[in-house]
Amino acid sequence: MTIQLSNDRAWLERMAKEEDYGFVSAGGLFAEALSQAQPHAAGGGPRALGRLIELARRQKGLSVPELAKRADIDLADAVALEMSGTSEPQPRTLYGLAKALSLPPGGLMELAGLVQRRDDKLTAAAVRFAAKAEPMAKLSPEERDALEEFVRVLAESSDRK
Amino acid sequence: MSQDILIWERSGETFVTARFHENVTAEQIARAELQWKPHRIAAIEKLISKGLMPPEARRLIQHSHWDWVAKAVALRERTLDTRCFGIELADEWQGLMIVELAAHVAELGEDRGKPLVYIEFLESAPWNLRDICESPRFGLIGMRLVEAAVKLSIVEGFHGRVGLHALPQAEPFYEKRCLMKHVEGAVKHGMKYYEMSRENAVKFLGEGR
Repeated sequence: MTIQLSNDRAWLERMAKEEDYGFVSAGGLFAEALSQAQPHAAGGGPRALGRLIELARRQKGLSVPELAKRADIDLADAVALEMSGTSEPQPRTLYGLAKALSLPPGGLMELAGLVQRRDDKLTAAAVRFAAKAEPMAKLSPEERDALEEFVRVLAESSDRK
Repeated sequence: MSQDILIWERSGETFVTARFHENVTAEQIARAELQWKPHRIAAIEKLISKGLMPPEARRLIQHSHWDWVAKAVALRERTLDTRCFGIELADEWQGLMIVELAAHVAELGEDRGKPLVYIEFLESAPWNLRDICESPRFGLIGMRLVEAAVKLSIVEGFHGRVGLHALPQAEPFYEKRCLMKHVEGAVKHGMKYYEMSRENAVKFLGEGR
């Protein structure tokens, strides 16, 4: 059965003005993707992962595009991971980031929820870290301390596997 | 099945004729995704180079992480009650919509529990959005897709009832422009549920204004 759309120019012109090129996105499918991305992450995982990548990048003096290039990953993935932790990082993406930022890949995988093993110490450290780090332009001494402590716990977690 | 429809061209401030497709295939959706992705990435890169951060960048990220292709294939395999619509112009996809006819029921008023057309997925091409593109190209894409959903609802005997979960940035569009009502308690993963009643379907189509 077919549907017939309007050709009423007056109505369409009014509607065009009301829409005004704004966002029209709708979709439970997007929400499904979000929900699938996060269920296994360690406590504080998505936020901590984003903060970790951001601070480690800034510590190395890299812009996001530079990091994406160095890690050989999609720029959109790098931005999504850093800002919200709500993307669905692939193992290849995380390995690329780990290599580019000198971070332990195993810890990143656990933080992203890509491996099932839970580590209470890592979880607690992730929550502390996510709560402390702020997306400022330059690392403050507190942020640097938080980053160093969190990377240490992350490395310990990877070593125990 | 397809038909000519009018959409709005911003540069010429005039209507242009586009093609509305009622049975968009998974392959066509894949092509649309290929067309849209570079524009999303370029937009993100531009914003980053300008030093812009949330909320603009977050909006773009939300916009860019919809896996159209996989979802379209999965949906079409899951049920025959799923339909995919699209608007095409100049060999480019300007907007896409996936709807379901059997999986959801109305929440509003006396029609509560009755069938409706549920919009699983609706998106306009990134070059048509002012938050992504400084000079958006075509307008009316969202409106024409919502119009299609309402008219499909009427054809199916659902009296124009339409429901959807809107991304936060699109809430004003559905609530104020499409006359859809926010239904409390029907949140899906943080996205609010909006529904068009049969009365507001008549108003939306211009018959009651």
